[in-house]
Amino acid sequence: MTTTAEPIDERDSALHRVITVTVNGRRYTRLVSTRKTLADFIREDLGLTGTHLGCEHGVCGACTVRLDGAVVRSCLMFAVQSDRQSLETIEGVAPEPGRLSHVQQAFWDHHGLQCGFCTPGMVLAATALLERNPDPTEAEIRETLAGNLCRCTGYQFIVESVKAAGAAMRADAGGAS
Amino acid sequence: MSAGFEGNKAVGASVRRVEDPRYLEGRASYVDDMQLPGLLHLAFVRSNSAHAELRDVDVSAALEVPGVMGVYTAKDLAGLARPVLAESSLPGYQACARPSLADDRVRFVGEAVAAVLAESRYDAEDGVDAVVLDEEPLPAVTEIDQAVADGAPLIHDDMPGNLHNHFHLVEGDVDGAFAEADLVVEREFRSQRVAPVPLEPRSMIARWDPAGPELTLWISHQAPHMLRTGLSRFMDLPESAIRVVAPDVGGGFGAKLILYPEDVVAAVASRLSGKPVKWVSDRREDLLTTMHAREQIHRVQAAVRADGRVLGVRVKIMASNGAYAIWPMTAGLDSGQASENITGPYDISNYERDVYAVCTNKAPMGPYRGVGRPMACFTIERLMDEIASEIGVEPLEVRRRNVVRSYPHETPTGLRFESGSSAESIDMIEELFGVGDFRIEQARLRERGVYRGLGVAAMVEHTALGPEEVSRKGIDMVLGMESAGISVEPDGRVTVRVGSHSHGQGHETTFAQVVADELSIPHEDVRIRFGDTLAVPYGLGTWASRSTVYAGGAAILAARAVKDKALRIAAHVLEASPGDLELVDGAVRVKGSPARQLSFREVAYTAIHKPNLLPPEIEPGLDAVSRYRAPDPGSFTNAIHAALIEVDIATGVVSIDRYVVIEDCGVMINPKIVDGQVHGGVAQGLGHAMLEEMHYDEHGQPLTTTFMDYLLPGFNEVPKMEVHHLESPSPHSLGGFKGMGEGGAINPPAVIANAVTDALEPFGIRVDSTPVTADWILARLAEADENATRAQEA
Amino acid sequence: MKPPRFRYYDAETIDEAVTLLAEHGEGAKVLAGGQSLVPMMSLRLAYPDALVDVNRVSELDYVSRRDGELAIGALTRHATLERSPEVARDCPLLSAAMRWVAHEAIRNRGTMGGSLAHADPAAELPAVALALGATLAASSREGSRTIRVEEFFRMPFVSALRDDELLTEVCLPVQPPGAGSAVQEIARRHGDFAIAGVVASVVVEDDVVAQARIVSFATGPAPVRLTAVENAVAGSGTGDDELAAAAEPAAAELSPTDDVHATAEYRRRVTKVLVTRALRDAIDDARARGEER
Repeated sequence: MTTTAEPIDERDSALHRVITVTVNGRRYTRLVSTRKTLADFIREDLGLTGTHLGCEHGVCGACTVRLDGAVVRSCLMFAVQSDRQSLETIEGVAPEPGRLSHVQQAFWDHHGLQCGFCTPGMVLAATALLERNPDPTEAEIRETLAGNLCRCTGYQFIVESVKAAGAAMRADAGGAS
Repeated sequence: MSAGFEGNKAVGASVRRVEDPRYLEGRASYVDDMQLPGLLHLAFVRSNSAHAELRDVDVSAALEVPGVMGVYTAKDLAGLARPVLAESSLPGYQACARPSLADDRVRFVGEAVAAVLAESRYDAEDGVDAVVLDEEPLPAVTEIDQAVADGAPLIHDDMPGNLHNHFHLVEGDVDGAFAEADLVVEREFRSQRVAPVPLEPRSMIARWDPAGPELTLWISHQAPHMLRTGLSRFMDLPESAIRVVAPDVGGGFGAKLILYPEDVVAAVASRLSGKPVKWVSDRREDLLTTMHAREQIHRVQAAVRADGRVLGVRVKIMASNGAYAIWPMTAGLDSGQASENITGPYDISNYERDVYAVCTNKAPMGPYRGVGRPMACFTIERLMDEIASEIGVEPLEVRRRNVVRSYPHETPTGLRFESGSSAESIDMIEELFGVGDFRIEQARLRERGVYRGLGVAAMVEHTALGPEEVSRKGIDMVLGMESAGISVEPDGRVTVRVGSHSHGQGHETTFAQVVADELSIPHEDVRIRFGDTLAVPYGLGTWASRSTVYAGGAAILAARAVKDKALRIAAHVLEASPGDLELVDGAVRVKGSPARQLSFREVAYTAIHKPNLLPPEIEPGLDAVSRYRAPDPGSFTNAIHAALIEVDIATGVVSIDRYVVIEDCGVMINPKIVDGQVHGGVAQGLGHAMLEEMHYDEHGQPLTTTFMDYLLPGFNEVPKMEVHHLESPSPHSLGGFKGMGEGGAINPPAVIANAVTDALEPFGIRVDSTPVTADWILARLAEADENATRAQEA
Repeated sequence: MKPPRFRYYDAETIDEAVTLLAEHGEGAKVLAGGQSLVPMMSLRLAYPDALVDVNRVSELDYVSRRDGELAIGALTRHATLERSPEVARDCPLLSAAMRWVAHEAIRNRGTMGGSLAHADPAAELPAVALALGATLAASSREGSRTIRVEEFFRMPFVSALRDDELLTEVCLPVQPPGAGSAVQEIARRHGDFAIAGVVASVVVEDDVVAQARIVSFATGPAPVRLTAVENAVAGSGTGDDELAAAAEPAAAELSPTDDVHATAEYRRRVTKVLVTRALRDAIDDARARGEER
């Protein structure tokens, strides 16, 4: 165990680093403790509190963000690992202020949320799924989103929301559904 | 869901929730999202022993840890906070004080012993690591039978027999019923300990302002005023010096209803440090210390006539309540409420109950969604199937022979069902599942080694308990009213300040729907505010499926008062009599002469900004505050669930092929939201039935302290559900509403147990406890196989 | 639940990584995917003095065919392997196992090397490595060595790697075309660690099982080759009764324990069933592949 009696030197690069990370298209440069998780960095240092902490040990998915498009659990990464990387959080999902993405709109229309705590993670995971597979079956939706827990909804309306979002995305793309 | 509403009525329409955009965009404000200047962070040192003398708490090393600003122990609370005492007027109830930081003894693993205050949660946890506890173990009492045995170690020196509460009541002629019975069916049923686990853990920021003095507590909570009263009482502060604000709350299910030690410690830490203090429970301490529920044993006997008619029931209920009683509900709730609901939806008039709330060295239990009713449903519904099996009749048929058919109906425990559809719903299940054909198919499949089962469970949910009913619980506050304040603003839009507080139920939409109809304005023009004790009249929060009836009722009363005044103001301005006026489509107009009208906005503007136009007898302003007492003993919702399952007898794995709910909660404000509540309740019920368990070992050490061990149902564990609605309005509540938030969670354990018992009937396996796991099933199948082999060889 | 203090170093080459590991000794741990290590640190079950982050050692991220083997760099993400056509063609058992590994988010970060080094007895990838007879390569400042998979997994969460060693590569023999694969697993919930699992790879010739490799996991301190079952099934026909008979000796080769999720007895009983089913599925898979050719 590291002794904690020594003064913490912010210039010690094993303990603090300056990182530059692009989040939702915007670049941020910050000094951060090397033990700070990516989730805490996003929430506290960047003030983007839409990413939530439900368990802090990688099971519930409430902390889901997209790292270069891939869904990851931000509670299982250190902020320093995101240096020079690009992230998307829930705050970056809406195409523009005042407009919702197809996934967000579908969750709204189909009552895919109740307390809202798991919702950002769900929306990001669902968006990643639909980008890869625009017409998933119910089984595929349940399998792919299984890494995100919800305690309120019983999942059924989330599944319907994802299906509806897929249909809207396909319609937008001009293809027949 | 529609964005607007059909016809002119908002109530009954599945309008889209107005609150959703902020959640979808990540702009919601949960407590942990808040920052304040100078904020410090708390982390707790917790007991490692289930029962021990606390000899010493050495904080010296912790104080040296970088970032640590202070460490608090029990002595720091002296003069600032008293041990929390949940008192009860129930005869024989033994109250036990609960210190917010353990002083000389710890009584369950996870009990808070000290609190480290630091610049970050990271530093605070480093400080926790450095605190040294000297705990001298005492024998741990973990099982109910152990706790009540003669000579058992006492968990509280002033609680003989480790009994929080015991009562024994007989209603009707129980002995006569048993004497008359053709058959007595006797069983023991057990429910495991579970945890509510809202996804947002308990979170708070306490800020003490010495200037007021004022304590502000931002907290993820279901009942801000009730919490304020508790803090006031145990910290000896006037209620007017305390403000509790619950912002967005990420789930509650009862877990966030009570006063916890951490609430008090955070407040004291802020006072002593002069800084705002944040504490967020991490998931491990949540599983260790946020209320548990449902650990009960029921020993039941039913006196049965040859045709399956139940003449009487005797039950002994024992709940492993944990080491302390919770405030304000006391320790008797889980067991007491289970005992009230044993007769379920059936016409059984002779009932005897012997009920024990036992003290054990585990975390305290509290009112988790359903509160005792899931175990009551399990007992009576398993019993119905057992009776069916004994007399050779279909389980649905036994239910038909016993179900309540006429209303009002009063149970032996004083629950008066005002309306309902239990009987019709039994018939609907029969039809939906084609039970006759199913039995043929089931037999055919058994020959091929495929084991399918049909399980059914019915219940009546006692919602929105009336004040008289609540007073019988013995809690010193009779939690039997709700408040709503309605203000019409000068722009004609409406603000409703209501004492209930949503933690996922969509109240910002449903209450708006109710008020919109009363005032004939679009629901988008009604803004609901709640959660802040400074802004909202004293309310009792959201729990016990009370909000629709209570807050809905208060809102309706306030809306009617506002409407009445609006008509009087308009009457004056239009020079008509109020009786000739009607409020339609956002305007007050003369009946039969619609050209003569004032818009609602004009009425409001006049009321506030043109007092010169008002006669002396009409006060300026257009608002009202009303309080509502729900009808006693409450509103009664019924539901029947049924599932078709298959058991893989090679692995014991159960798959749910079909799950149906038929529920009747009277008039529905927003059917889609009702469906969502049912789905969520069923998911939690299935978790209880098959996955979730708070395991403690024989030393009282919890074994399930992370999400890797405490298993919440996910997308592939909750089946698709078919939900049907019947509607038996309440003749007593305003709006005909009944409550329903807890209902979905009540039936599933019984449904699954009955379904698995049905599926495995050829092997003689009966499911009498939860969770039902593949492991358990395979072990019973192996036993059955050995018995069959031995029988053959004999 | 925040991680304790540690010193953070990151490497961009294997040399840098092993130098850092040597410098920081016993208290240093490799940070790869982090999906197992970081939760342990957040739960304060692990207190490494230093972390050596190897996520930027791009020379460790590859899948390539080499001398009849599929060479997989230790940093290759599960998601890469899941989607790789080379893996699907050359090591179909690995492809099949991938969909059982946790959830998408875990697979996007978790690495092959990390999973093997973590040596979780309930994990799929160590079982696959054992079934296929993998060879592992490790480097330290002292040099490199290869380790046979049979020697790699000893105790729960203990591999044959020394403290200063970095796992660099896993080599899997390319499976003969027409080899059939199957994974059978029981978990409390979809995506959870197995309560009991079996991976199987078979070669079928003329309706007879010519060769079988069967590994049971989550049933002891490390994954175990069910050699008695392999011997029983080799040369046997492919009917259900014969497969069930071949699966009989499975239970005796296991050493499961009780935990909150399942009893040892359950694990034993259900493994027999999983072996039978895995053999059935693998044979069907082999036949399907045979027909495709």
